[in-house]
Amino acid sequence: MGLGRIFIMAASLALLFGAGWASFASVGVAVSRDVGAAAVARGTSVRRSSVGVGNTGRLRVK
Amino acid sequence: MSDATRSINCTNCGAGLEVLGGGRVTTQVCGYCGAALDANDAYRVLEVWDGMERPSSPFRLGMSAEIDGATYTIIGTLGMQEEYKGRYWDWVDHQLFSPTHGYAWLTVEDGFCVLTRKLRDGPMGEFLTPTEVRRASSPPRVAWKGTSYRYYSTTNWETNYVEGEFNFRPSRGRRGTTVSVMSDDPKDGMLHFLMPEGGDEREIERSHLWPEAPAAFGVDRAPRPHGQHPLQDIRPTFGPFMIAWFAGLSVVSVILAFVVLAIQPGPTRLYSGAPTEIPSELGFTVTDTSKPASLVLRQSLNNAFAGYEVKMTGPDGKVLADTYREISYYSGGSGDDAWSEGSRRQSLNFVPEATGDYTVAVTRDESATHPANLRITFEEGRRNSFWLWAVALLFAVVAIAIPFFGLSRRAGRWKGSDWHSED
Repeated sequence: MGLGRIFIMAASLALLFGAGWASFASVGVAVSRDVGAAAVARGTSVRRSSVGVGNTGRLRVK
Repeated sequence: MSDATRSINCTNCGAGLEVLGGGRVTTQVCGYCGAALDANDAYRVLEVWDGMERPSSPFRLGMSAEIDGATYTIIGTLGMQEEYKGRYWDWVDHQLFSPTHGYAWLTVEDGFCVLTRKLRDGPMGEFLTPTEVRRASSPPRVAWKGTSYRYYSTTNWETNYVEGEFNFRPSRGRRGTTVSVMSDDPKDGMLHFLMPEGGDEREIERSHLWPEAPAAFGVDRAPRPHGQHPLQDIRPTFGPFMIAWFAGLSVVSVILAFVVLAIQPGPTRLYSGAPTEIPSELGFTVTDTSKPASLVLRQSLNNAFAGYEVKMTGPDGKVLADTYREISYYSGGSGDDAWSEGSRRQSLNFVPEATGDYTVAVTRDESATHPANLRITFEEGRRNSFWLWAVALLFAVVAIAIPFFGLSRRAGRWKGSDWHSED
């Protein structure tokens, strides 16, 4: 079995593990910018034209 | 005459020439002076070709090798050339002789060694001529011994160098045409329909790649092949094992994606009904602070909008959201012209900092109300199966693509074909 093939197999396994981790770790689940005590303290209030938006990535609003 | 190697002196220049070729040799060409000698007439000088330049080949007259148990000796060398629209292709044909198996050819081109033998039981009834090829609307095919051979190329060759012994009468400047056909399996080799110019002797030959030739003949510096030879068996880099590997990974990814969906807690319904009757306060309990949670508002409206003030309070009484959500959904058209804009779903997505009982007050905006049913739910422990679906798709695409790559590699054997469809 060639080194190239072993490398591709290892890389594909790594990709599967990465995707599994990302899925279980909630990577990419949107978090709204206007939720959290800090957001309220800042007076963040999203109205009308920009409702429901959230950052991508697993961001903890502080 | 004994079986031992004998020699003669060139009747033109007197150089010593080995006689290696057996009883069917008709012509011997002196490598020193270029004189063609009639082997059947006391080596009478037939013609002299001055200034011939010996083509490059690691094989020399007198070298011997075993092929399938028979010993073959190189008895002659022909320098060959084809010219087409200013481009030249050169190769060297060495005539081989075996006292038990007769004559054959060793061709050296682009560093590849090819063994060619005359076919005595070839498909003479289907002899393919250049005229037939020109008239054909699709690549001509020839069937022989249950195998279908497809047209590969036509070679208009010319001999520009002659040395040694031959079982025919070669000459410098001798021209001819060879039509070659090939099957999809390299093991079948290549069939050649040979037509020398001005002669009526038609021959069918069969060629196989012979990469072991340099070692068999004891050549010091074996030629280095470059490019791809049509008779090479190009095996796909990634075969069935890798197809199974990626298909397997795709299946595993799909299973894991379903697992992610399965362990995801279902939504808790906080309210469902008319927006005018929402209780002043709704409550939900957070048990998982390690994953994002979501408060979702769904309203089944169409071509309308509605707004809601949303105030969420944590278990410690701290206000965590004092915000607004507008649900707006518009659609129209039909068929290919159908369109929609907005969403019937809005949410507050957050990572809870503490477990406990949360409260939320959802108050409709008096200036933006709609009577359609409103549903408010709470979800926690949200995971993201997107990544697993994505790699499942990627692995599936790779598994499907591999055979096509393999085919394209093998189809590369035909890239040198001179057949071009005109449509």
